[in-house]
Amino acid sequence: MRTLTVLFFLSAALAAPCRGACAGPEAVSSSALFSDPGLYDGRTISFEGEVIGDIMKRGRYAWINVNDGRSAIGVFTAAENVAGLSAGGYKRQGDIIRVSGEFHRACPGHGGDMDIHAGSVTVIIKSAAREESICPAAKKMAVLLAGAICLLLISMLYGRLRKKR
Amino acid sequence: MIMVALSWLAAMILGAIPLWLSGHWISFLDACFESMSGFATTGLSLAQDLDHLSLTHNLWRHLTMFIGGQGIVVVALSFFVKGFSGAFRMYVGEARDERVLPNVINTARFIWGVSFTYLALGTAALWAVGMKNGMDPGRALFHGACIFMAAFDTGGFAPQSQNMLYYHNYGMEIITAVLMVLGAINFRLHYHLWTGNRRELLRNIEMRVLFISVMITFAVTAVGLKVGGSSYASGAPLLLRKGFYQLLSGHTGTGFMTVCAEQIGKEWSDLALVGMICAMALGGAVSSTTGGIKMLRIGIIAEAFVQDIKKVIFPSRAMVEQKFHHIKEVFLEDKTVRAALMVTLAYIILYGIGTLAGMLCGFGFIPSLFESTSAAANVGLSCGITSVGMPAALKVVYIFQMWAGRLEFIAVFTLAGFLLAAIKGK
Repeated sequence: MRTLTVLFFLSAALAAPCRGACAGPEAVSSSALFSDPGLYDGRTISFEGEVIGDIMKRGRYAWINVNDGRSAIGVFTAAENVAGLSAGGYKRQGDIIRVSGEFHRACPGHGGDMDIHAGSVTVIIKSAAREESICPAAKKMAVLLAGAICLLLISMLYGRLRKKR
Repeated sequence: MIMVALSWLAAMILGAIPLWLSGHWISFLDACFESMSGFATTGLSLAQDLDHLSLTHNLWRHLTMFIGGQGIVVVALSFFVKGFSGAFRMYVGEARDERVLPNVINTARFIWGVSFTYLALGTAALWAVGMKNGMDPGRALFHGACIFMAAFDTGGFAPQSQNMLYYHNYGMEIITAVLMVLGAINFRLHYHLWTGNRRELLRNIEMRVLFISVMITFAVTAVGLKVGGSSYASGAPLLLRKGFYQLLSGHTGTGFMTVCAEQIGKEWSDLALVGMICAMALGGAVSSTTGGIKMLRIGIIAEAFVQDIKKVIFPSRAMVEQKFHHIKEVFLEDKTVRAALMVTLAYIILYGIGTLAGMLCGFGFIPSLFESTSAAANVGLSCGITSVGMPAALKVVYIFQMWAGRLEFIAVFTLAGFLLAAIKGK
């Protein structure tokens, strides 16, 4: 998982020069949005992160959730902007995208959700397969603990049986 | 009783093993925290990168809530035990004060019958809404089942890191609100509703106290949001979807969130947080899946208060009898009041222990009280303290609070007494 995080930030760093070339709205992280949402309320911002979970199309519009590695935020946009996007899950790292649009601290049109109404969605890095492995030390410890618990349960059952006899 | 207390600790350790193996919990302590949070239907989470967790692990997290909500002992009594003399004591040890049916094993089976029926109905409703929201049928079914388990068992886990905010849908919020209330109702009341006695819903002291308590705490929270200048107080729809939903989630002990934890900690005024803390501390009905002091005890204490006032007002020769309706008419007795007060006091002390621990770790009074009440009353709402980076000692304190709060002390006191006697060699 640590490797994936390093890869994510490395990719973001490599994509940084492109960002400079196409000057747009201010890029903001989720930490900045959560720590002072009032500051960005109603302003056009740019937010980058991985599309996670589901692409939820609702008629002409769609909802996606974008996670920048720390927290996720809902993005409301036109359905055509999400066509072809891949969302991340256990087996896939989702598309890393940059969205630009108006940030709402408590969107009146969406029941007070904190969201971004994105006018544009740009894919920075395409989605890719991902794999997870079990840490060997954790595996050993788990076997030991499971064994200890089983022994405890067997001894308790044996004790009860002896008591009955 | 000792067996009940120990079986919950064993379940926590066993339940933590698959979570820890996934690599999404950085230490075994964190996995134990998650496991206890699941079994005790709390909903506080220390998962890392939850959005990339496997479906199996995610389903396991929610299953721990479904098992723990009904009760580990109830599982044993329903499926593995034919009947023995200690069955009722074990049943009571798991914070189930009342039998629905004369036989405790039939009671346990009834609880599972109700739960499986609602599981089918609730999952189907959430599945339909999920698909309407644009989710794949398969994923909508998975999310529907997980959200049902967390809502009906007043747990509060969700498959994605944003909790209920992930769905951006009021239909989902309405269905979960109904499920949360159903989860907060006494299983004995469920039995009466199922057998056609719907009037009981209006007459029962627990339902009346729950209604009054929700209204009062919501009024406090709403005023708090208004005074604090929150955007949620700008209109009724926002106040209902953010203020009331969070309040109901806290009062029923669920812990579903449609706002971010950081927002609660930073944007909600102290008064709004106090309203939420009171709601969380009070909880739902006895013999339900909720935690906290519980409505029956609050009702009994209120009735005793009224009785004492009447005794002062009326002539000294007057006989003042107080009665309340809980399934049947019950005359208020001193021993009932005493028992209600003792458990209430124990909860207040437990809330205090966690608050003190939070403050010792450098957090402020209100956030510490909020998080401590959330853990001890098995709610799961967070104002930002619960995180991977919080001190290990605080994690241990919260695990203890979730365990003691879920078992409502009797089993925990018995275990403590047994250990003390063992140390003294008696």
